[in-house]
Amino acid sequence: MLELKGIRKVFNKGTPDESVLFDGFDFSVREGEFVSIVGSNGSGKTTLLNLVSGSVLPDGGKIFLKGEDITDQKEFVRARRIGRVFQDPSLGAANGMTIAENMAIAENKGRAYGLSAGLNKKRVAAYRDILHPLGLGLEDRMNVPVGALSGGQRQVLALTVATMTPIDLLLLDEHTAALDPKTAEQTMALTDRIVREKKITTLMVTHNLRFAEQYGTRLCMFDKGHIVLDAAGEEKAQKKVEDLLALFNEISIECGN
Amino acid sequence: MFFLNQTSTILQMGFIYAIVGLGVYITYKILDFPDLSVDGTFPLGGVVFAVLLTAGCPWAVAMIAAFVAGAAAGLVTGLLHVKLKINGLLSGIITMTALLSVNYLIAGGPMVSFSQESTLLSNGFLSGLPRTAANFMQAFFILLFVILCKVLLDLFLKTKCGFLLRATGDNPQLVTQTGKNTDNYKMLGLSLANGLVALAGSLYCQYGSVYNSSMGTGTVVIALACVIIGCVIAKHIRIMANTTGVVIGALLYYAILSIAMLLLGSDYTKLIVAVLFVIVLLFDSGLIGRKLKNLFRREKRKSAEGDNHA
Ligand SMILES: Nc1ncnc2c1ncn2[C@@H]1O[C@H](COP(=O)(O)OP(=O)(O)O)[C@@H](O)[C@H]1O
Ligand SMILES: [Mg+2]
Repeated sequence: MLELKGIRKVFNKGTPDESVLFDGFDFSVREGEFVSIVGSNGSGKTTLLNLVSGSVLPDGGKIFLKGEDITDQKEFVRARRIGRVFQDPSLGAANGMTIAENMAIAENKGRAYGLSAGLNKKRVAAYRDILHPLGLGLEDRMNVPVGALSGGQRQVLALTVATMTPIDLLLLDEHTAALDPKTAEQTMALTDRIVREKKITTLMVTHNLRFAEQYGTRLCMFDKGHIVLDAAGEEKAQKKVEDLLALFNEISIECGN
Repeated sequence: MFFLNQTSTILQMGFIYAIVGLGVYITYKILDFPDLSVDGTFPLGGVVFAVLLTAGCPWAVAMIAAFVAGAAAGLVTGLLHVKLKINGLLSGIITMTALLSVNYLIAGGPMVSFSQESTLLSNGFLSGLPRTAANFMQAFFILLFVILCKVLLDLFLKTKCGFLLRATGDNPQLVTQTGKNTDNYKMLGLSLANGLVALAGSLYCQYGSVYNSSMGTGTVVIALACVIIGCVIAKHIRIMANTTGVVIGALLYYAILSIAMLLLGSDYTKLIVAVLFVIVLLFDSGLIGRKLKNLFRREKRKSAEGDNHA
């Protein structure tokens, strides 16, 4: 369903700082898979998501989504089929606009943004019903600017908004990293619920080895642009946090840090 | 009499700059884009209006043409920025510089006078009124335009398209996530904004029945000051929309500017404009506010201490 073939990515091309991150990198994800991705800093996790979303273009290779070659497609065109949540909570919504307004924008994704009313008052009740089960009380703050919410609330809203319309693929980049442990835990549980309920194929980068072990149907560990561990199904179920930590330490020591 | 004349001038100029302010509000506050093309599009509106009027065009048509010309110039700034990836500030400066020549070429010289022609601000009806009454009537006519622009802008910002314009300045990534190209919204915003600025330029010319190529100098600074004052006011009065704040800000700004000019003389105009702008910026950053608060607190403490001694 998602396929990266022979991807090459070079940063700072033609300068003394030139570094080759991916060279002949292959990666594929099947329909309905929930892939957790872990790896040391700078191993290329974010770049992988950027390549898929189109915010970074490869220097070689091809990217296919549902069989369609999207290598040359602009980021905003690909976004029609891809939802994304970032580490930075301020990237998830328009912070000066209210919760209701943000949900109205998200709900209209894939359709024209013309001169009809931006916020249909009759839809607000439906938005409340979406927010209510999240248990954060967001449904009572529909007219509050998103910027006034806490980081955790904003990430949950970002996740909700990103999955409001049907999408083929969800990209999560350390979306719990800026949150305190308890909020991160809740957000992660909620992520799992949404992904399962809506059966969305998901790539989740996480810094949290336990999240990677506990959630998702497949686990990948990255190191310097290579996949050093790729376990799905039964194999993944047998991996313990200790195993991951051991492997993680091994690659970290190789790096010399 | 003197006081009445001053008041009508403040209202006329304040309302004209309120329209400029509404335009600059779109770029500066909504799009977060520092657009300097305004110094060129304000006189562009004036010259297009003046030339069409002297060619026999009715004033209403000439005003619409002024709006369209300004919008086109704004689109050029937008294209320079999004297509050629030129820095926003520089894109505006390029358009502004080019317009110096364009405006001169359209006018065929530094000035176009049209004192004989009938316009919104100079017509048979107004010349039948006593001078002072005519001045206030002019201000009222301009106010009608201000209200029209403000209401239309408010309505537009509540549409789906308006929502994405706001989101573009707020969080461009969100607009990309909805599958839309932020470039288009930047160009749309710049066009609308400069259209309004040029419309105001056409009103400014009608005010004196003459186009003068120097009319644009300093427009950006004045407009930014009006917008910043307006948004500070609107922030403190919760029910007030930002656009209403901009209109009030423009009036307030022109009142202060007029008083300063009366005290110092009109040779100092641009200097006053610059100094006022610095003061407005300091107010906006909260520097002056904090100093005042501290001063106030110290006074209070002093008087409290005095009470203790007594
Ligand atoms: N825009 C960029 N310019 C230069 N180098 C970059 C850029 N983005 C990423 N890199 C480099 O690519 C490598 C991988 O980065 P990244 O994908 O962000 O890693 P991760 O998300 O796994 O921590 C790093 O060495 C980083 O320095
Ligand atoms: Mg990263």
